[in-house]
Amino acid sequence: MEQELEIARRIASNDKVAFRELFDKYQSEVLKLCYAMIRDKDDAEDITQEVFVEVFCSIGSYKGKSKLSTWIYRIAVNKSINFIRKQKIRRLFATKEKRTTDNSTNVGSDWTLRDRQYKEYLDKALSNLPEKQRTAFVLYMYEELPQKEIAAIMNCSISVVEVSIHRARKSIEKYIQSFDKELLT
Amino acid sequence: MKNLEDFIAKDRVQTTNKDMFETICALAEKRKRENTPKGLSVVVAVLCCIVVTLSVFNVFATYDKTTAQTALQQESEEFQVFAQDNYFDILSDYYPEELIQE
Repeated sequence: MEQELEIARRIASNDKVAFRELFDKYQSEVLKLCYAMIRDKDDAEDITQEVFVEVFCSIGSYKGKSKLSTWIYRIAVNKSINFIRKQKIRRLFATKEKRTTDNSTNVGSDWTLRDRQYKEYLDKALSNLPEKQRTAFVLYMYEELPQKEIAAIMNCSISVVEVSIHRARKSIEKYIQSFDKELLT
Repeated sequence: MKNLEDFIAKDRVQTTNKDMFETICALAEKRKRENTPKGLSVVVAVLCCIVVTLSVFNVFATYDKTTAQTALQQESEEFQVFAQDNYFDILSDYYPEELIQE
């Protein structure tokens, strides 16, 4: 914890080398989290950028009460949720405009057609989850964080995290079953 | 059903963007430059509150003044009309008794 506080102090005093170290350490984790939450790679990169700008500007407020990673994850979760909310509002006002999202940039070249279809279902299933369940599920399944840390990030109890993950999983599995049924028919 | 864990492992973003760092630094510097100090913004907010409060008081004071003025004006107008109509009656109180009887 002392080491993390020291890094925070260095960044707060405008030390770019320390910030670079922090960026290299957490960039992929933050990007992974933002992508899992938002489900679009370009938007996830933009949010990751915003997260690190926020980290750089607000690191002075980090007091070392939690792990630095927890603090960064919390910023990333909040930014992603805010983005999702804004996106929902934007969609409400642009109902006539047809969304033409190109998902080809979001998938690897080794992905089969079945994988792509499966991903579409997963995207929809995740998008339909309530914020709390989505956050808990993503932090647990994509970031593979322990439930204790997820509780610290989400500022709730471990039992709430446990229930949220369980419910999210059930909803996703139920949604994806319809994909399997469609494949069989 | 395909194993959810396996699919999620495949769905995780593994790539990173190293060029992003320069952009982040530039954006952070810009934001720091544009940010006004917290103390200053508090002072500005307090000043704004004072100005708004004074404006509200001023509006009320002006309203009261206007109402009073209008009432006074109305009263004096009414008196003028009354005085015109009863000019001689009013003056008659001051006429000497003898003059009236003549």
